[in-house]
Formats: sequence, structure tokens, C-alpha cells
Amino acid sequence: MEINSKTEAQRRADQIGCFQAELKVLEHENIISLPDDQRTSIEDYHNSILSHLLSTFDIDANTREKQLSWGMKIASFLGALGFAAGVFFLFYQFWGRFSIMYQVLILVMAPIMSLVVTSVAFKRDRSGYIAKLLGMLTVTCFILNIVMLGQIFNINPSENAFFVWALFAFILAYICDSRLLLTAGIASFAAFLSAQAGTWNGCYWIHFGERPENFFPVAIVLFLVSFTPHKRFSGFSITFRICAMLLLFIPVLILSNWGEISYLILSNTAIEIIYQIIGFVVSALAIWIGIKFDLKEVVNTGNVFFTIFLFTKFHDWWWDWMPKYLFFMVIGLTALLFLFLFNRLRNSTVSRKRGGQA
Amino acid sequence: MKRLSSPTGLFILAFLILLTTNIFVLSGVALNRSGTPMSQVTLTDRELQLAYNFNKENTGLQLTLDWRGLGENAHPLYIGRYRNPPDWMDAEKLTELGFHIDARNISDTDFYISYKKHLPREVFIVLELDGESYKTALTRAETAFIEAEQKEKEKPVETTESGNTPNDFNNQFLVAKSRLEAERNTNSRLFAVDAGLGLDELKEKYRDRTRYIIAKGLVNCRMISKDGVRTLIGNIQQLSIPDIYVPLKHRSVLDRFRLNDKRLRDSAYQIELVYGNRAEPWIVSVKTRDVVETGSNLPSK
Repeated sequence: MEINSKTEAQRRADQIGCFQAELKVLEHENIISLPDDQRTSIEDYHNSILSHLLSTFDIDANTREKQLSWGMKIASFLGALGFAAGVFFLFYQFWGRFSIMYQVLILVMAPIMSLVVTSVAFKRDRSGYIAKLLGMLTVTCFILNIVMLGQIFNINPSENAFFVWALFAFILAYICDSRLLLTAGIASFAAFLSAQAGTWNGCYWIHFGERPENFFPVAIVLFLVSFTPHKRFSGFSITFRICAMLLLFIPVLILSNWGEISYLILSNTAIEIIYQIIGFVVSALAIWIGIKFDLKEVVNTGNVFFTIFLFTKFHDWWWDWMPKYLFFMVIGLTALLFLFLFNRLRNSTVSRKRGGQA
Repeated sequence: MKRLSSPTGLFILAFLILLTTNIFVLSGVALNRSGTPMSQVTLTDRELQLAYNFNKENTGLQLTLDWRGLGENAHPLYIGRYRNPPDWMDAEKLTELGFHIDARNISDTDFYISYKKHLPREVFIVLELDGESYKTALTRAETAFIEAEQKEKEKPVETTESGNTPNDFNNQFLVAKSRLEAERNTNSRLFAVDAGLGLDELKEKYRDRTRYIIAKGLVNCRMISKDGVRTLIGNIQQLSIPDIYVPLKHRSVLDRFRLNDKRLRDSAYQIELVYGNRAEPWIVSVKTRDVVETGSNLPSK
């Protein structure tokens, strides 16, 4: 079995851990009893795999190591954000004291130097956290590079900058296996494609946010991209899917309450009703797709937005005239109804599986 | 292909993106500044004001280009510094700028909805320095002042035990007086006089490069209601490059103004601003200039 990434290595190590734990239970319950030679050969095989994975990919061999890894992830995330903000303010603090030549030199060299340091850290640091942190710093330096060149030379702003930032952040995300960098890339790409959608409809690109429908094409593209193979990368498919769903549901939620900013040439009430229906149908569809294809994040995001759409509607219908205690009682009763429905759904799925096994 | 998707290949690709993007941006700057510039105008602190610095730690310095629009219907007392929608920006001009307007249906409610849907478009804006529009604004201010002065003479100031209490007419007179003084001494003389999509046509039409600036700006349309009649007007929201960066070599003069140097109380600054081939500006020189204040009681010419 060929293992090419830390994610695959961690998955394999977890699988071995589960097998060992289950084997212990089976032996304790006297279900099986392995002969010593077989037990030894399994243990030797697993130990050799684990030591190889540990030496090559720096995986977490037990729960304690996993907890420490989480701490490192959080520290790396906060460090990346801190450094990113620090670089911005550092430049603003001193840039006025440099001539244009030095400003350009600093701006061009900063991301290049940061990229070189990232590549060195990537090769030397097996945990990968330092490289991820430096990768984020490199993206920040590149954003600063283009933004400040634009200010220094009074360049007309262009949405194309978002495309290059997205491309750059995606490359570093795939190198460092970093979800933070991937999210930065997705945000830039979303801004670029939404701005493009805005310009196709005739508006100046900076105003793309004023028509939430501009985010729909990028939501579809990202959702489709999430189904391309990402086995080697930890949580990339999930990140793509969650971002895609947020880029779809948030604009729908805004339009369902504020029809005035839609592209549709209809009355505001008609637009709001259309988007309320879309919100309910698509979030329910997301729950169904998530259950059918075993995509937990799709089910959860669909659930969250279905609930938000429902409670927004409850608020519209009843908040003003219903006594508050009754309003919250209705919400409680609705939650109970959902519990009942989900329980029925779960039971029917379980019984179908059992029927299939029989 | 496999080599390209390896970490080393991807690092090289990232490096190439950095390099080509910077080359692209800097060659754009060089292109803008090559050849004959589109405009080369001498502006003063009336047109280029020190930009407000929100971040106190920011050591960079920028100037905001202050331009105005001359609206036909604007109240003569209040057009002062405000960017009124210019009177030439009508439904016909908006159509020329790419807005889908059907003037016959402006009063129709459904069309009112459709006009709301128009978002700003980027077009070329022609700004005229010290031209006919400025003269008109000055004349309006003078006329308003003369009218207010006349009314003041007809109804003198009422006095109370505690001293003068200006009544409505008196207030109007003071407003007219201060506006005339501002129009003569401090208000921007840069007015938006035309807009279009074709740069070459505008360059051909406004050939005086020392008097006209052609810059990119955002235009949107607005529905106004006057005496129960709906009218569609165009509005220049802002220029695409509203602030102009001041390089270190030109800062010595402006920094003194920024620090409120008392020795400069009776002087101001004068800036030579150039707009290149891509309608992107840069500062060529900054000098101090003496200020001679013109009061409201003097003849305008």
C-alpha cells in the first residue's frame, strides 16, 4: 500500500490503532484467541509500518500526541494571523521614509525571500507547522506587494489581483497541506469570480458585493472542485464544500430578507419569496445529498441553514404579534418535531441497512 | 507533469507567479509614464488636499483630488464644496455611457424598480481646471451674495439687550458671504465637464492638456423627484484613483503643511500633476505659493 502524504499516513496509523483496540476486546470477550506466532507476526508488521510512518511523516502515534498536535495547529494559525497583520503594519509604519526605489525593492523582495524561507522550512521541519506559518506570511507579503505598488504608482484597481493571489495561495496550500492557506485562496478566488460576474452584468468590479447573486457561480465551481481527488490533503474537500455552501446560502439568506439588492426585475416582496423558497429547497436538498453520499459537512451546513431559514420565517410571521413566551415555545416545539423526524429517518436507515445485510 | 506537481516544481511555479506579476505591474507603470502624457496640469491646495490619515502609524502621504460638479438646480447657497450631479449628466448621456435607459418610461413604477438595479459603471471623466464651470459657480456665488446683501439692507439686524441676534436674512447673508469668499479663495476650481467611453474621442475633443484632466471614474444613475415629476440624472460617485501618493522627494514642502508650520500661515502649495497614457497620475513637482485672500466685498474680476 503506497502512502504519499501525512494525511494518508495518519489514517493508516489510526486504522492500526483501531484494529489493535478491537482485537483486545475480542480476546477479552473470548471471541477469538490468536496463536502466539500469528500475534507476533501481526505486531511486528504493524510496528514496522508505524515506525516507518513516524520517521517519514511525523504522525501522531497516540491520543496524547494528537492533543499536542492540536495545540500546535492553533499556535500555527494564530502565529500566521499575527505575522500577517504585523507585516502590514510594519510596512505602513516605515514606508513613508523610503524613496520609491527602496519601496519597490522591499515590496518585490519580501514575498520572494519569504518564499525561499518557506521552502527551506518545508524541507527541514517534518511537522510542517513552521512551513504553513511561513506560507501564510508569504501570501500576506505578496498581497502587500501588489496593494502597495498600486498605491505608490496610483494604479487603477483591478479584480485580476485577486486571481493571482488565489493562484499563489492555492499553490502554497497544496505544497504545505494547509487549510488556512486554502481558505485564503478560496476567498481570493471567490472575490475574483464574483467580481467577474459583476462586470459581466455591467457594473464596476468593486461593487460586486452589492448583488449577492454574483457569488452563485463561484459557489457552484467550488462545490464541483470539491469532488476532484484530494485524498493526499487533510480536509481540503471538506473546506471546498463548506466554503461553497456558505457562498451559496449566505447570499440566498440576504436576498430572502432584502430583495432590493437582487438582479431580478421584480417587486421586492416577490424576490424575497423566491429566495425564501430557494433557501428551503436547497438546504433540504443539501441534507438529502449529504445523507445519501455520506458527506457529514454537507448535512451539517444544510441543517444549520435550513434552521436559520425556518427561524427567520418564524420571526417574520409571529414575532410582532405573538407573546414572547409563546414564540419561544413554538421554537421549542419545532425543535422537538425535528428530533422526531430525524429519529424516524435514522431508524428507517438503520433498518434498511439491517435488511440489506440479512 | 509529475515533476511540476512535486513540491519543488510548485515552489518554482509560485516563484514565477511572483516574478511575472511584478514585471507585469511595473511594465504597466512604465507604459503609463512613457510618451506624451494625457494631461499635465498645475493644481494648488484648492484642488489637491492632504488626505485624512485614518491610521496614525501610517507614514505615507497622499493627496485627495478635490473636484466638483455644477448642477443647474443646485441651490446657489449650498453648492459650495459639494459634488452636485452635473447638469449635463442626463438620460441621454447615461445611455451614451452604457446604461440601458428608456426615457419615455421613467415615470413608470416598474421602470423605477429597474433603474434602481443599475450599478456604477467605470467611464472616463473630463475635469476642467479654472474653466467656464468655475466661472459660472463664481457668478452664482456673487449673485447670491448681492441678493442676500440687498435683503439684509431692506431688513436690518434686530438688536436685543445682549447684542446682535441675527435673524434668518442675516444668516443667509453670512452664508452667502462666506461662500463667495470660499469660491474665490479656497474652493476647488476643478469641475467635471464631460464623460465618455472612448478615450480617443475625449482626447480629441479636449486637446488642451494643461487645462483638462481625463481620469477614470464611477458613474451611477439616480432618480430624483421634483414638483411631482420623476427625472433621471447621472451622478459621478468618485474617481477610480481618488488619492495620489506623494513620493519622498516631494514631501519636504507638504510635510510642513501637515505639521501646521506657523511660518507657512500665508502660503499654500502648488503641484504639477501628470496623467499618463493609462489615465494614471503622478506628481512631478511641489512648490510653495503665496496666498492673496480676496474678500467678499471686492469686485470679482
